[in-house]
Amino acid sequence: MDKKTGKPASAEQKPEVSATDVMLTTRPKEPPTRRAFLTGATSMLGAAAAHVLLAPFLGRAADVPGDPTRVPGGQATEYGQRSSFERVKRLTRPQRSRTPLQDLHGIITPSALHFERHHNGVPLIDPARHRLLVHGLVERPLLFTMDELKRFPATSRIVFVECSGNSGKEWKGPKGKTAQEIHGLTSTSEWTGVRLSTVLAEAGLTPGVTWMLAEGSDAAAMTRSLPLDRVLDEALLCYAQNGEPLRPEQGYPLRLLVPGFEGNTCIKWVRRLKLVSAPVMTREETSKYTDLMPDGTARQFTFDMEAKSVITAPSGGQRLKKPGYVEIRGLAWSGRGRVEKVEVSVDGGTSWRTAVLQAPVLSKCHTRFCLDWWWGGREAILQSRCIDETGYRQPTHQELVSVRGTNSYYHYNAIQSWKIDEEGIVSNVQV
Amino acid sequence: MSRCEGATNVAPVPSPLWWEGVRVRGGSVLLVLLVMAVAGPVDSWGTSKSGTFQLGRVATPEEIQAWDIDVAPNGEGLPAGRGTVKEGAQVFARHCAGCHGATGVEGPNPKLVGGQGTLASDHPLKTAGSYWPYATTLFDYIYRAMPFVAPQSLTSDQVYAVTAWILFRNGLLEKGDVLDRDTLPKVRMPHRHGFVPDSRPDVTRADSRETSASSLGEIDFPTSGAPEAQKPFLRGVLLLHNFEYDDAQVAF
Repeated sequence: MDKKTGKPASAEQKPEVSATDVMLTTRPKEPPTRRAFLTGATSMLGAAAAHVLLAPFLGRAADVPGDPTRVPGGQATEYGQRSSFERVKRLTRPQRSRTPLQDLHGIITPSALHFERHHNGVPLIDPARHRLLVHGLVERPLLFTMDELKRFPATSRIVFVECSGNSGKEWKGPKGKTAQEIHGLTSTSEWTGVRLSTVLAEAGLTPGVTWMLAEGSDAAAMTRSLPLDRVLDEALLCYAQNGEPLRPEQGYPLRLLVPGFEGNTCIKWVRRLKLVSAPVMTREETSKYTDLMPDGTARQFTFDMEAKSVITAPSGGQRLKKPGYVEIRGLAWSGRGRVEKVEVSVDGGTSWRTAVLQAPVLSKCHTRFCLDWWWGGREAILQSRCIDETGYRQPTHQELVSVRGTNSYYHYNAIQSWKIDEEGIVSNVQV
Repeated sequence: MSRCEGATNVAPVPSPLWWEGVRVRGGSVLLVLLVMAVAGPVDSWGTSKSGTFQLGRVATPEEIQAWDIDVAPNGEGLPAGRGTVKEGAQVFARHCAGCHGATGVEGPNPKLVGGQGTLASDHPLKTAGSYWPYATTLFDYIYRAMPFVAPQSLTSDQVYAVTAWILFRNGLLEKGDVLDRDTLPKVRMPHRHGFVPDSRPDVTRADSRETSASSLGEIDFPTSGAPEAQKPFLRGVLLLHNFEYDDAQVAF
């Protein structure tokens, strides 16, 4: 921000009417005459006309009026866009993008900023041609259109989805710089769809069925086997996210959602559910999403995302400008249920205080926490730890590594430490 | 058959009985009974005769066959066809070497050969030969998702052949071996018994609820001051009680 004008700074910005002048001018007692208006404010009128003509491009820095109360604003739009002043974005690689956790508020991740992970690109799918096949050990193999799936009773739930590879590089030391870079493969949305159990009941499960293979219609034909006894209660077949159809990178037009499970089990672009009596042992559940232990064995079907938290402010890459009040803010979540408590330390884990949990506190959902802090200008190490409703406490890095070594890559949920130096610069450390 | 519901982030509840639905939706059971007494039973709501929603249509065997491409460890789902190690070398050179290297280890994409004996080391190399528990998985993955730029473009014979070549390079097949739906499931993979079930929670136990709390304690009482001053005021009092005079001054 430019302190003098109170406006966001912009190199190109050359307001024709000085913002300072306009902002400080008191409202005239008499309405200006037409002549005075034309001569005194021709440039403002021009700016207003430009606004009307350029409605779709509203808000370019060059168009910003000195005083928005004196210029007609933009027109209504069919599909809203964020302010052009806002630049927060995902951190992308070809097959993944990370949510800017440190720049977001509340618990809902905007759909456009929800993290993504795909195994051979985002497919382009015409919903009118998309079908869901339910077959295998069922009484009636059924084929559903999207319209039919939407006719079933609908259920909505606000839950997080987290990639099991989130924070995975931290096994081998403090590698990432920002909350987004380290922990950005988790996001929360309101998801709407039909219960998986409802659709399976339509096809009729036969005795002996214990697992379900879910397959996507992307170029990886992504597949996972899921144990029915663990997914039937809560899994949804979703067609909507935050009130509108799924984003393409989230599985448009249809995805599986298994609350609390690692993200890759929530098969996107799902086209086929095959009911079986044993896991199919696909590539993803053997060679990829398995956790290598120090003795050379590998844990398999490690579905649950264990309790985790991260302080998003202050966090890596940010800077406290001067000593004084800081609201410590962060997110906590658990794939096993509700967050019961979050504790925060400003001395590297020597002492802890209970953070305030902001409503709503929902099962298997990001939960916002905060805590007052007065930074004294000295070096500090901030940490948060999540305790979920099962009583499980988020472990330290050492606790985690002492049991699992450093080669398992997935399911890293250790306490995040942010060091604040005397300059107020925040960086990622492990203590 | 589940019904329309109001539950959000709570554990699922059993489907309500019909009369519970009536009560929730709009009105009292009494009113419904009154209407029924006057006008007799009215079936405007209708019910399912089959116990299902009668949505979707039965899939034909041809429709199922077109998509049913998965292959199980016992070989179920393997298509007809066959391939030799020698043929596999040609398929690999043409369709795979560009990403995985001439002999499957040069990259740039993941190494396909080697790594046996490295899994417990500091630098484990996870390949089809060292890590994958089933040869059927290798076939399934190539058949459904490779080559990366043209998935599902190889014939069954080509997939059998290139699977054979990768297994041969890992020392798991002889040069003259042939793979088909009978021989592939019989290939013994070194890490076949190396997988164990999920044993988490394995690090911290469910006893942490008693271990810590706010070191300041908690207090709450009304004051006549401005509402925005209440939070720091209470904090200041807490800090005073904890002999944190400097911090208390900041809070006040």
